[in-house]
Amino acid sequence: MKNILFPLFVLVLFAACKRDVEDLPLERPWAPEFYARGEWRDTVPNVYTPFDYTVGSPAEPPFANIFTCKSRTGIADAQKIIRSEIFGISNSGPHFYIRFSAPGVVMPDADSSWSKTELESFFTPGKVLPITGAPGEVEVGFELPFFVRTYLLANSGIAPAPDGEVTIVSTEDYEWTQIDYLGNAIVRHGKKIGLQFNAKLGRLIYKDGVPVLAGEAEIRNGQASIYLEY
Amino acid sequence: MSLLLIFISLLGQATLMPPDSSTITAPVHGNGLLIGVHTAVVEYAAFRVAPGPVAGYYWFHDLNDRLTLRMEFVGKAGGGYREQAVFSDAVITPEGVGRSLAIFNLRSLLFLEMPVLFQFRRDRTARHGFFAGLRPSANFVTGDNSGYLEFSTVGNVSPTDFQGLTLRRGVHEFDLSVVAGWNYALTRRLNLDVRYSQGLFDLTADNFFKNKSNTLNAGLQVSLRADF
Amino acid sequence: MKCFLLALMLVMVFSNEALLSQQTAPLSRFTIGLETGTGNADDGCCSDTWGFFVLAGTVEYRLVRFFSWEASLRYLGFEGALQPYSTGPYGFSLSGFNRANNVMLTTGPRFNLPFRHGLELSLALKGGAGLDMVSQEILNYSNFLQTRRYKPDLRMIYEGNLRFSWWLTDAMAVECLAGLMTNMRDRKLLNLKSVEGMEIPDAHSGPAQRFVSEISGANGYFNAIELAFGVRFRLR
Repeated sequence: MKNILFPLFVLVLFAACKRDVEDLPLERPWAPEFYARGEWRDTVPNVYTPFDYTVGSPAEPPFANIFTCKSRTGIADAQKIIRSEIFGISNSGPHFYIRFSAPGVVMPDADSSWSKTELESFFTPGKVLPITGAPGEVEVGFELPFFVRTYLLANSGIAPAPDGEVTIVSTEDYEWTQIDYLGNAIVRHGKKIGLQFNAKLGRLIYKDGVPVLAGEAEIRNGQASIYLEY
Repeated sequence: MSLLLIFISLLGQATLMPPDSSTITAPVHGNGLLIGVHTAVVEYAAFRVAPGPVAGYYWFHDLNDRLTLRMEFVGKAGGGYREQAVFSDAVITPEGVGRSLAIFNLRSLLFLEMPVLFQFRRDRTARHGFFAGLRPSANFVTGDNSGYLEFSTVGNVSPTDFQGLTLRRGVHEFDLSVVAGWNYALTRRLNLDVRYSQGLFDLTADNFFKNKSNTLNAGLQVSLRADF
Repeated sequence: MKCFLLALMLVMVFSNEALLSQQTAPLSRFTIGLETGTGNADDGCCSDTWGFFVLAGTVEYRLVRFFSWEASLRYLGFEGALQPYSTGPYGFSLSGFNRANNVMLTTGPRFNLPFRHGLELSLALKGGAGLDMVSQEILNYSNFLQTRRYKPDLRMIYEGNLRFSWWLTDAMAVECLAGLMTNMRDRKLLNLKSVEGMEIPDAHSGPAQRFVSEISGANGYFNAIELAFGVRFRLR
């Protein structure tokens, strides 16, 4: 017994007693939730460049502007639409957008907002939305990243030979809190939608201040996690 | 090298080292000044040590011819620690992001200690003795306590603000150690102590520094005690 | 110089024999002391310093009752925080620690004021040379980047201290000392000896260049205040 007790005593003596601190502040890891990424090409075929617009990351270091994702609704071509737009260095022209049109015809002055039920019935996992050039179908827009910032110059709606598809991968409820200038907390509700997409884009250039279709661009291997508000 | 030789030769002239066989009659009780140097293990994994000064006051009283009770009140400065605590928070919303960061570095500590020791010697005239006891200690962080803080918010999104957090919270204020050592009476009034102390408490909170390593108030101390 | 020091050493060794041969010889004028303590230092490149540790050995020769000459060999170490530089939460944040180790040899007069019961107050003013050994540890946020070591630098040191001694016996005293010390400030910068670890991002032409030029501007200058305790022995 003594042969066990003494080493045990020594071990206990050298095993440090530990105490934890109580009430440490909350920590949450950096976990990007919204993004659009993939590969793009300009009119030159087979030369693809990756892009990654992750919401919360800096859009153009060393500037402090970060990528943000905004949800907008409207009426276009007698249909209710909802767009998720990713903005970066500029707040007026998104770097990327994806637009969905609700089935059915509405009046131009109808309420353009989407309800939770409408979003849930439209965005079902596994649903494939083709891009064929038909009116009212899904549209992908992309600002080709050049050194000199220009406005959105390509979207699938004006592609010379429309082709592509958007697949709904996942949907989940998403809620977040914004603090207004008075310090009040405003809770906003929406859906976080996971997508995969490929699309041929109509490439615009400006001639004498007028946008003119100049060829075909493309996005492939696209993945996005977007926010749509109800 | 020549300067070192001079210093050593001068030290040899001092009345420090009477023959070991000579006896000495130690006082029954008294007090005095203690000064010395300690070498603490500041990182066990790499067995990295760091020196620091020790100074204080002591009081002693013979319980009998063999046993002496001694209490010391000592300040000890310890550096060389490299513990780091990182706190971060990120809130990402569609239209904004808030990020905050706090980094704390523990580099040095001040210990105020009160060893309570029992010293045993063969008899009252013996020069050699052994001692052991307990050493409660109050610990203070010296150096940068507030840490490095960063807070950014875009789009009215607020992350956790770590401004109220200090390094002091992650370092335990009190500590207990066991002490064992050897004592030699150089003269009737001057004693040399060599001791090893082993802290029983981890000074750093694991959930604050986010690691399970032990930071203990432990190490070797060599000191001179001069009776008043 | 070496011959002089060797001769001085031999004189010290054999002087003891000469003193002992005199049956009624007075107490030796030589005392040696050991002191250790802490304090605070102000280093040009650090916003805050800590961990001040001083360990010294001194030799003092009492010429007359009120005046003596002292030489001390002192080790001084402290650490400080380098001025941080950040490019924001999405860039890098450079910070670091500056470790200074100094070994100095100073000599000079000490003016003594003895009181009753073995108490004595004294003031010393000394000058000499000190060897600065500086190293820096650089971090990017919490990640270790590199260790920078600078070549040892020799420069003049000046110090003054006020010492309170209590002679417990003819041969032993305890003492408490408060002092100021500084080394010579000059424009000469320390030379970088080695860098171990990873490169500092954008160090040569980018935003980190300012941080690098500031930390490379270390010149080893410091001034310090110390508080020490010690024991002193009179030689026989």
